[in-house]
Amino acid sequence: MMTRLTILLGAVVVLLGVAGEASAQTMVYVNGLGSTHWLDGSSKGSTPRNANLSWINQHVDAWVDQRSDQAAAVNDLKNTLDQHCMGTNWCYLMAYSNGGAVTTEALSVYGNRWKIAWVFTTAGNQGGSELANLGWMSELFGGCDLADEVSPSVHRRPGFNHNAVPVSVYNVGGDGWCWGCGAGATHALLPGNDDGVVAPHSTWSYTSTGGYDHGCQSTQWSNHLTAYRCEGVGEDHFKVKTQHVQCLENGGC
Amino acid sequence: MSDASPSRRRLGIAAAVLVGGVALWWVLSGSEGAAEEEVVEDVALDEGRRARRFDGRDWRDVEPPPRGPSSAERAGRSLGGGTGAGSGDDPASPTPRHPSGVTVGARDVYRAMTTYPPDSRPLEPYRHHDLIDWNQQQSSSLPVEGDPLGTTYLFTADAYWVLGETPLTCWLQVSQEDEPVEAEVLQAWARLDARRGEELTTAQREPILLEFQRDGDRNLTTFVPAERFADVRRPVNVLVYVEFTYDGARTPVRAALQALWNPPGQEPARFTGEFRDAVEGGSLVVYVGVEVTEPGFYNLDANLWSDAGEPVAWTKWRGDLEAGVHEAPLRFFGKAITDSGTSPPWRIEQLRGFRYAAERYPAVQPMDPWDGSYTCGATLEDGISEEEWQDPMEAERLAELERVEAAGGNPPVPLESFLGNLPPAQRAREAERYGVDPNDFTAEALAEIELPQEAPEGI
Repeated sequence: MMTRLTILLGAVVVLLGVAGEASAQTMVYVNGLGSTHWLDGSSKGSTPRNANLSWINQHVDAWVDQRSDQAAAVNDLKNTLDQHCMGTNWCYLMAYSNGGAVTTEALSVYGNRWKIAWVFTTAGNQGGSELANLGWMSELFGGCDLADEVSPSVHRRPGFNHNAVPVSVYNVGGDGWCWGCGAGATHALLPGNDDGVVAPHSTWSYTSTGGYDHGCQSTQWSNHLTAYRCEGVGEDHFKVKTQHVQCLENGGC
Repeated sequence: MSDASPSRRRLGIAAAVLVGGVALWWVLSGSEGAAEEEVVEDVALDEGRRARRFDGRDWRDVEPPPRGPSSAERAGRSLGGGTGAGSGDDPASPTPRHPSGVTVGARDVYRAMTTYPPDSRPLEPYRHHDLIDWNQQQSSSLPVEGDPLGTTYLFTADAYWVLGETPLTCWLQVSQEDEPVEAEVLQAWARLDARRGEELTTAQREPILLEFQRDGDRNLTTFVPAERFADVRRPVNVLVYVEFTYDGARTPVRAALQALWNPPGQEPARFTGEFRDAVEGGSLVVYVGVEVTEPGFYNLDANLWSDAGEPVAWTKWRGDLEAGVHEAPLRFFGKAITDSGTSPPWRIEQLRGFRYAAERYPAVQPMDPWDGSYTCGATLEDGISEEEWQDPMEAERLAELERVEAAGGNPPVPLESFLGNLPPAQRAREAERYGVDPNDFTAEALAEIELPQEAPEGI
């Protein structure tokens, strides 16, 4: 039965693959800190997976090496977008954690270069995490070099006008207790109702660092929007890894 | 790959998708158990371990700090949704998770966000402080880990880009309950960080010691990287560390900050000081003279102000520049100017730029900013337009958004985030469209939003 199922599945995806060349809606997945791609089995947290959506017919697991430095990661993403999002395809970008920062930095620096419909982040680190200043990022993400380069002062550094993104950036995040973050120790170090790794100012793209309770307060960067709901879902940073996928699949969250 | 035949490409795609499909089946067949195991494994690992921190101190025995239910849990309970509400497992719930109860669809978001082009919008001091004080370090106070006194500290500097021979001033402020606390700096040092590209020499990698002085209620040091780090000939990150203590501290505290230093003579390009302006296509275009030493991909940014000092608009220009002298056209969108309600003359300030070279580290090679201003000669009568921007891809983009919308695929946006995202004049127009008071959606008003609280027990 397994063989038959495999053959059947293969036949279906071959047909989908061929059809996809004619009119492709491509979903590009951008991974988080310490990993090299979205479906990286060694990445921490919930098991990553592609979205099951009828209106997407191509999934791209972008190779974005987030172990060494941010600029290299941005360049990796640029290469993926150049390959998949410069033709007739519409691209939809799904980013997790520091993948949100990589994505918005690429969009700010390179502008309207690609055919992207929108960006959707979950637990995004667009505004940087205070944990990077404290060495906790390295602790949580296996000591990768990039961990000390994802702080608010770095991600909010001069030049990266976060307002100058050419497409809407939608954000969801979590605000649940993170046992995996030193038994919750990191919550006391992050301002606001955080998910244990990133604070709301970062996840919801607020223009200032500070303590926020949810995603409908004060001022976000232009064209950065809170999606579906104001408050974070009651899960920690690692368990909201696929929250954007779930929200789209369920038509709500 | 580009010269592969279509049939081979199809075969390749099919093979890739086939592998992906099999992998997906394999994942799905065991996903439930695997996910459960992973969660359990995470908790067990972190509760039990005694890892060493980056600075060599032992992992602290941490009691979870007091923390109430998350906002999602509070909202879920008070709205009758139970603690599981909001976890994504109850998509049919009609309960709005935002005070207005209104969400905005992708088509309206697109319409509003394309009123102005993405590279020039109204300048709002509250929202765009990072474009106005553009070289300010975006730092905030941090709590001292495990400190029962609630001690916080701020370690920051007077700039992020340190250009040429300019100094960098760093300071440390320690506080308890918003009152300054005297700190003693135990040691402080700075080192260069160039993790890719041309390697630093041993001497360049050597940390330099820094002396902090007491300055009022803070500890402060000033140093000139160009004097302390010799013969560096490319932009590098400067990492500054301080270890300090204070009355009641359990252990020394370490803080760090980062700056980007471009050594003297390493500017990839410079502003020549030549300007002219014109009204083109209803927008104000300021042509900025740039002399390029190192060709490549550049970003230039500037802000527009009225003569009376009122904010008007910001702009960003991107493009490839060859070596030599050029004019870069900085376009301030007409409607952003007319919506400001300001009168000419307008002037540009905060003109800065950088070359972006992803193959290098750091990728940003800053230019020296133009410290002066340029007053434009253009007036409204020259044809500055109040027309909205016309996205050249509007029809195609709307068709795509509507196609996905019909499939339920675009993320809706709570009205609070939508209106809060708009500059004042546009917010007023959109609020009227939605029949709400725009004053309920200002930054100050939104800051007061409190989501439903947990209902008292027994109710």
